[in-house]
Amino acid sequence: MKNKYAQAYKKNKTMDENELNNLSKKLFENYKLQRPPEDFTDKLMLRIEKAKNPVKQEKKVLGSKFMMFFIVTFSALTLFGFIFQDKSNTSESGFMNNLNLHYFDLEKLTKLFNFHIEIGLFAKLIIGSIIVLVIIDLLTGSVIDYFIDSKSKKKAGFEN
Amino acid sequence: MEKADELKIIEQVKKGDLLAFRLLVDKYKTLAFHIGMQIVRNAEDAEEIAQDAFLKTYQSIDKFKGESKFSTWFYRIVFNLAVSKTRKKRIETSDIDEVEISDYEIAEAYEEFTTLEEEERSQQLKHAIEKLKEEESLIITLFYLNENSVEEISEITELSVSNVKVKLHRTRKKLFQILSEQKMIEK
Repeated sequence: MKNKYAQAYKKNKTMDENELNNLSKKLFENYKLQRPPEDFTDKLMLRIEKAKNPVKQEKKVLGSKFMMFFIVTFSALTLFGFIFQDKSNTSESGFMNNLNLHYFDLEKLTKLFNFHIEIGLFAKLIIGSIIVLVIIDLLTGSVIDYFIDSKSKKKAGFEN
Repeated sequence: MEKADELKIIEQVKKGDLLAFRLLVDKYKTLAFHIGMQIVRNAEDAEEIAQDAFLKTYQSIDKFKGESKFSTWFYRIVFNLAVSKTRKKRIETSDIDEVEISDYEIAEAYEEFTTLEEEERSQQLKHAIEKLKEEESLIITLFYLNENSVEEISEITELSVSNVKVKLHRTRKKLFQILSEQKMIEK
């Protein structure tokens, strides 16, 4: 019985296009395609979510948060200075000159390191605010997180 | 999924519905991966191609106007990405020479093939497909596994309809030739 089908073609039977097509079709019966990895869809959905919220926007949010915290700290230091203002100073220069920042005297601090610089009130407040923010960030680990986050976001971001 | 249902899903995707898009992904991911595999011959790259194709589809779904089948439009994106991935201007195309196999040998190879267990048959066919050139394996699998018409394959690969027909005919014969050779090696 074996080769009975093939033998017919040995005896000058020709194979037309339809026959060849049918045989080919039968070859592929029950043939299963290789499937993509199980987590394919989840990985893709994650990429789409990330593509919908680009890294640039997140950085902007982080940047604006820093500005907000800076302004709050700056205002807090100014208010603190106002509360502890030098009550004995009665000159007409008013509020700004009366601000008492002796608890944050950078001039005294620089003298400790054998040099002396004159630092204006606003410069003190700005430097003070930055130092306070950096200390808070370091204590909470958010500075490190920020750098790690921005690096990983850059890596994971959608490449157009 | 009926064609009408699919068009409704596409409309939802256009409105930004990610869950609706998930349905399309589940339906087309296997063949997208398969197309990538036929061209780059590497599972990791094929997965990346399929992922990029879906991402591109999601971002440019508004460009799909329903003039052709969604699957054809989508497979064209997969095909183009796969070809770009190979960094070649064109994928390796099949040769012009006629395949040297008689009708008797085709019938014999087929008969031998049918005597195999299902598992072994799949393995033999898989190896034979791998021995075809990228374009050949893509055309024959789209035609027999995905049941794409010659016209659809022509749209996906940008080959003319007559060219697809010729290549399909030659690839069928070549596939039987490879199967026949594989069997001879085993003997």
